Amino acid sequence: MRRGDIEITLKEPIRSKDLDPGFKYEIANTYLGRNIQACFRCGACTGECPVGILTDIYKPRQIIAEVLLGMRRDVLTGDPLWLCATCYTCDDICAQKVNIGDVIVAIRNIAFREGYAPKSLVEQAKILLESGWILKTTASMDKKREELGLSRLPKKAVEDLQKIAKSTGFDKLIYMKEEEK
Amino acid sequence: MKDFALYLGCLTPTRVPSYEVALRKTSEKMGLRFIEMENTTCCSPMSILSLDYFTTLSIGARNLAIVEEMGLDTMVTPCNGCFEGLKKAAAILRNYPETLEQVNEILATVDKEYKGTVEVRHLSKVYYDEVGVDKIKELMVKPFDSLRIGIRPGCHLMKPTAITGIDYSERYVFLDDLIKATGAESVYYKHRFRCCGGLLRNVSEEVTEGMLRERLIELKKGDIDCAVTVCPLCFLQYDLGQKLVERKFKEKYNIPILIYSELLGLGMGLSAEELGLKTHRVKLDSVLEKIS
Repeated sequence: MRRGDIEITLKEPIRSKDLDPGFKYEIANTYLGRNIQACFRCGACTGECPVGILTDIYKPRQIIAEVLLGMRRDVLTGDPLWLCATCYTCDDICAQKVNIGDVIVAIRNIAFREGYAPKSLVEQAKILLESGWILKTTASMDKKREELGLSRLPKKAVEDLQKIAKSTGFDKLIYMKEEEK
Repeated sequence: MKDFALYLGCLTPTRVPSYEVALRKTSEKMGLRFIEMENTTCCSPMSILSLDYFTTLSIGARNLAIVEEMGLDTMVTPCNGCFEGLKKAAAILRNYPETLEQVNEILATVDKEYKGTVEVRHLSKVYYDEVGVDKIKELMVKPFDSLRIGIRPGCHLMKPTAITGIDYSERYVFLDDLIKATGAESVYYKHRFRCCGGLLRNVSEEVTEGMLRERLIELKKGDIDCAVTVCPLCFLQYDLGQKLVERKFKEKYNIPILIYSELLGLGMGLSAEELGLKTHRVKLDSVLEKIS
């Protein structure tokens, strides 16, 4: 294509039969997602988003708009949902107090329940439930601590953690996901 | 000054032990009394909140309940992730009695109950509000006046403001005052409050390192001697992550990074060795030379 030519990109039209108009209520009925319907899609969130500025893949406004439109499958199964760095810059800048960072988390919660969370996060949850720490602890960490005059790493209340995860049903979702998929 | 329950979280004791050394060695001189918390768990941070809100709230409530059991009303944490997560949990549980009731039904299975009384504070804000700038000035024995510092507050110290209760703007934040209290200059540089991408490391290496690289370039342009943070995740990004970015993009930044508690320790006359600063990956020689 020469300079000055107009590039015409054809995109698949959004068809109403593919939409789930109830999706926005699913989000709005959660504590974190309660303000989603206040969005008037000004895009301030996206203009200030440090991920959006860098990548072009993740745009908070687009995700919110897709939810409001009812593009349930696209939102829940897509990669962009998980690229929010949760820095909450958008939260503070939002004129409508949509709590965008929290809305993203509310959408992620649904995606997780349906088996679409990134494996790395599910693995991290396993480490948490099995050790009480958010990351794998090693003997070399204790060694380094000793050299610095610190005590050994304390024991975490793993049993309590597992009981809590059982009561909320979290453990089932963490451990059964792979077979279900 | 009253006693505080100390909640260290995961990253500080495991990955950034020099932060723990510094906060312990400096606290007594500042008149801060920290009481150790026992039988805690990880706070259930953003990555877990992203999977399940209610589980995260329950895990948070369990940790907060321990503070009540200790007969204390304030938890102090050196970690931005723990701070934002637990402060948010505490705010929800205080403002929504029904949610508190539901969470307590979960906690009953581990013989705990949370009454909703705990305040969560970040260590740096305790330095500022409880110790105060004047007292810190008095304790400094090293001349830092030639030192140009760029602050890295980290997102979850301030955002979202509605939860953290900490006002900020691109021009000013209380950390500037804390830096000035040590005698050093707090240099304004571009995007100093912008995210380092730390929480994306688990999801996309490409994005996390791309973001970190932008932050490093901005810091470099700020013509600073070193960056100072109060967040263990920012620290890992700027220390270990800086090395990874240098390798990946075949660039050199050489930006030394200190944690504010370490800076205080140095200012109070503790040696780099006593503070365990050799555990840093990015060499601190240029900074140490300047303040010797």
